[in-house]
Amino acid sequence: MNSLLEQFILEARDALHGIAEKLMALEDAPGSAELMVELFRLVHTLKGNSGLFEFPEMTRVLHAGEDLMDSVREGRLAYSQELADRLLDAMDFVGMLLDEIETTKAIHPNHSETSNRLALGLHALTPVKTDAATLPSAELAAPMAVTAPALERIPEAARIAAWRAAASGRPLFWIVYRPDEESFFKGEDPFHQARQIPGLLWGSAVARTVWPTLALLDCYRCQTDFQLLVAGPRAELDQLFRYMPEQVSIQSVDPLALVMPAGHPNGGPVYDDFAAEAQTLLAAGDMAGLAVAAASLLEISSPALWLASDLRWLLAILETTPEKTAVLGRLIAALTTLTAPDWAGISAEPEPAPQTPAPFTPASPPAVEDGLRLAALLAAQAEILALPDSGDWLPGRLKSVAVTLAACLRQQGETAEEVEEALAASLEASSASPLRNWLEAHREGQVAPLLPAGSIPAPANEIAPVRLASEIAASADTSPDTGAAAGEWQKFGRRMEDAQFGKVLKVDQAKVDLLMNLIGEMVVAKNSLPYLANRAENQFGVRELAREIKAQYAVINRIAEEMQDAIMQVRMTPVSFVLQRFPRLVRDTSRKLGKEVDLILVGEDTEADKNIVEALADPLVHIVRNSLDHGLEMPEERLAAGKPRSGKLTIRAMQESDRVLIEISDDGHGIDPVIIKRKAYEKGVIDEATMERISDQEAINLVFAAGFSTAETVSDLSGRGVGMDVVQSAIDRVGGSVTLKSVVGQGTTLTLSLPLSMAVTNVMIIESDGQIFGVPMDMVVETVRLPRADIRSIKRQKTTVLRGRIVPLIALNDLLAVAAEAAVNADDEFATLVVRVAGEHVGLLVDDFREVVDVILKPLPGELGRLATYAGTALLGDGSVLMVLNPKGLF
Amino acid sequence: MAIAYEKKKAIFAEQVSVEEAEGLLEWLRANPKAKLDLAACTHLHTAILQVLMAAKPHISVWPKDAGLALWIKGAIESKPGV
Amino acid sequence: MTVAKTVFIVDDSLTMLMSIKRTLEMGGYAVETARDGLEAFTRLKGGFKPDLIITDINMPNMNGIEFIKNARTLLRFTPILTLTTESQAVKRDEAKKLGATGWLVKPFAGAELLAVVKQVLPGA
Repeated sequence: MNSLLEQFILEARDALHGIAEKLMALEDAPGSAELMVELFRLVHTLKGNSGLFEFPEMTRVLHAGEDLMDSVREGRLAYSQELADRLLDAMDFVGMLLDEIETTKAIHPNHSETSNRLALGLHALTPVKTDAATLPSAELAAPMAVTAPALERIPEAARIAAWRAAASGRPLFWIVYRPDEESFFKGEDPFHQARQIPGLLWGSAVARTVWPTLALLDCYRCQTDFQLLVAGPRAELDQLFRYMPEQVSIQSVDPLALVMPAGHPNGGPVYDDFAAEAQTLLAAGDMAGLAVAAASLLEISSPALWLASDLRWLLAILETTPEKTAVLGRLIAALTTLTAPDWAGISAEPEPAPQTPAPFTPASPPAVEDGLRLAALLAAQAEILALPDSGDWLPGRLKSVAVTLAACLRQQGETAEEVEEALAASLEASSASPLRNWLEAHREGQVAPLLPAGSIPAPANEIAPVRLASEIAASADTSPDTGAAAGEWQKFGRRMEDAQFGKVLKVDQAKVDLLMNLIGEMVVAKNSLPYLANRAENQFGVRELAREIKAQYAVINRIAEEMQDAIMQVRMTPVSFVLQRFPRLVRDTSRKLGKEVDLILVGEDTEADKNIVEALADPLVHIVRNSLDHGLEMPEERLAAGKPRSGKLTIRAMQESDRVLIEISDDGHGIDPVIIKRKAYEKGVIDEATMERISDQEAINLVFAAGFSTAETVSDLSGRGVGMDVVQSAIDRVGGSVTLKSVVGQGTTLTLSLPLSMAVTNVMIIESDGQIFGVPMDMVVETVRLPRADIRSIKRQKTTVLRGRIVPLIALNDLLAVAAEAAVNADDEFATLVVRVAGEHVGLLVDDFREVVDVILKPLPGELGRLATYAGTALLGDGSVLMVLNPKGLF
Repeated sequence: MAIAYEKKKAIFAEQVSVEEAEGLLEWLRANPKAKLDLAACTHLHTAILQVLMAAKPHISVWPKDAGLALWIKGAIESKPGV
Repeated sequence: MTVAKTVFIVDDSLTMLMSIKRTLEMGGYAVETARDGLEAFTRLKGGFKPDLIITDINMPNMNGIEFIKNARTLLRFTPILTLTTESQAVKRDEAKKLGATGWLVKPFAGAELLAVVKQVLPGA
């Protein structure tokens, strides 16, 4: 993914959390201006950022949210519950869009409706702004007093150039730019500003007043005005002066006003005969003849004469607008009087067709976009073809590339025959070369014309760098000249990385996971060194070397362990990561239920491995919902029971040696063991005898039994037919445990105990039917060699007595459906692994025990992950894969 | 630096920024007969332009940048208030 | 031969910083960044002298308006652009009064950013 987009998503998530947090805080302190400002800032920033990308659905909602928060911040609207609700809904929607962007890199168009609905909802709450101060400043600024243009100051050459520009349809403007005296202290450079005007024909800097003596001159007070003659669209001028509209006057100029012959009269009119002849030619419409006559007279006249100036204008107008015979006529007549022609009565230049303001960044025409997309598609195919020609997958890969290419060609209205031929050749040769060669040839000929010169869009941030980088990459090794350019780019790239955006790094989890995997492999690779040392000693008899290898191993071992530790530290995440959602959840849920609940969070900064913390999320939600739904009473009920109106729900996190404990307690009505027993019996979870026998605590624990739900009615919240058994199994999966304590009338406390990290698992390797398996050591109670004689059968169930306790025995082979008897050793003893499952001891009959190792347990991928039998896999020192059993899943 | 001051000559660099204006003004007051070499200059800040307009120093070498040369000539010759 | 002009961007949004930085670096400018007004002002007090400052308005610690006011006490002539939205015309004008040179209205295209920078930064 594009790193900017990645950054956006990261930051947007943070902003959403922040917004929810601030809204929660505002519930308690609805008048806090500080919170309001902060909230506005978050929404505002998020909206600004979303505008960098093409996510109109998101921007629209955020924009509406920003307007709303702006009103609240400025006190035009009071904070209300409804406002918070709508804003939260909108932010949930934005969060959902973010998820979608992350997975699909785009927003599905059918969200547009929701986006509109949410934006309208927010707008409905926003009061209409009537404040005049919010009008754009440009409209308020009084325009400068207009002065008559001092056109005569403009040299003739510039005026003739302006005439030509006007004749070609560009409007003319006279600009007087009077910079603020203080403008230098605002970072402005009026001279620079003036020189940048597009279409500038002439300009002059003029002192506003007579300069004082140098001793009194304040050179930092701007005392200079600028007078400018410009040809070009008005919109461009307004754009350039948009920061200082009150300092300029822009007047449209009639091109005729520029036609002012000037010069030395040289002793009176002596050119009457030329004037007469010229008028005749003009009347006859012989413009070519008139031009020749004027040019020859100009040639023999001194250029400083009034006459020469008049002739130059005559020629310029003949050249540009010969149809203006009235203008030409008066210019010729002026030769006899040597006074500037009076233009009164001559229709001013027909208004040039209104120019459409030039858009600042022309949107790229669709054809160009298509072209770029096609080019990207072709580039991707080229990349695929550049992969090494490895056996089995090649034909499929070639065919899919060919299909894509053929589709591209058809889209271009071409036939795909060549592609078919190249594909056939490639398949025959089992090499991508023929197809690749065709594609290269095709791309050279094809891609360029797809991007008509000059229509390549302005470097839109996204496309340009990518394209350039790939071009450089492609050419770097062929041409030494581009090496420098590539270096240049790398330098920019590095500078980016050097940027210090603060001391805290935000890193994509995948990168840390990669580190974790790598250190896992490192540990495995390191473990092969002792094997190597043994071989060196025993197989090759080089004892010295074996010793050195072992010494090196000790060093590498230490570093690897420290490294592993360090990486695990990186993965440590505060539990607040999952707890932060609860204020919102508790608020929404309790409101829906009509209950009043105070949520107290304690120890949010307790840390545990990210996976553990994440695994907590769902069970916690379930537990909290249960508490709200079933545990805490309605306000009236509580009052009647002599409790405060508001229920109290506490989530407390703490660390206890290498475990993290999460305690969720409420002061609700607790769990009544009598009711539980009855229900369990009704649902067939226990039989009558059990019901009589079990203790109250055991009864309470029945809520963890599969299929047990205490809800009287299935409610919308927690009673979706999923009971506490789901919580139990989710916690089990990460090696945790759940304990439940409850006192009727006083409340319920659930304690989750979880390992701090599940990165390294201590497993015992066992052998069964020639295969090896791992069993997590925290499940293993003991290992015993059990003589055949000690095994009894009770109700066809093999059992034995260990330390005065009856232990059922099960052959691992039976559990794994392996058709082999458990092997016995020379003394006819069974290797028995006693494991603890759900508080019971069970003996697993295996063939043999092996060593205990530390492994990095990886869950089985995809569908295989649903096999409860296995906890996962691990790599062993010799490179083999160990399947690690999950004893709880075996029975 | 943007302006190199020699004994009787100041040489302008490519860009002469606003910060140089005060220094140039002082130098021109102290050396009213000095010459300015603007050959390399492509842009100078309005504040510098103002100093040139007010002091009207002797410019021995005009900017190679013809546009800038025209601007400066015009500015120095222009009459105030027009 | 001319040294690249340095643009100092101040914004609390990393996304915005990265986006502007990227565009300006492609345009050949050197870019420095700060995450809020206080950090930026501290940098300036330490003697950092950028050729142009681009600052957001809404920031924690020290907002853009305060920052501009403070920055002007150190850098009299440096052009300062503010990053605003359409709805922030009032802030924009306030910033202008305090010495900002101009503004950019978010969102803006890379080409627009470069055009504005070129407009306020001579010799760039």
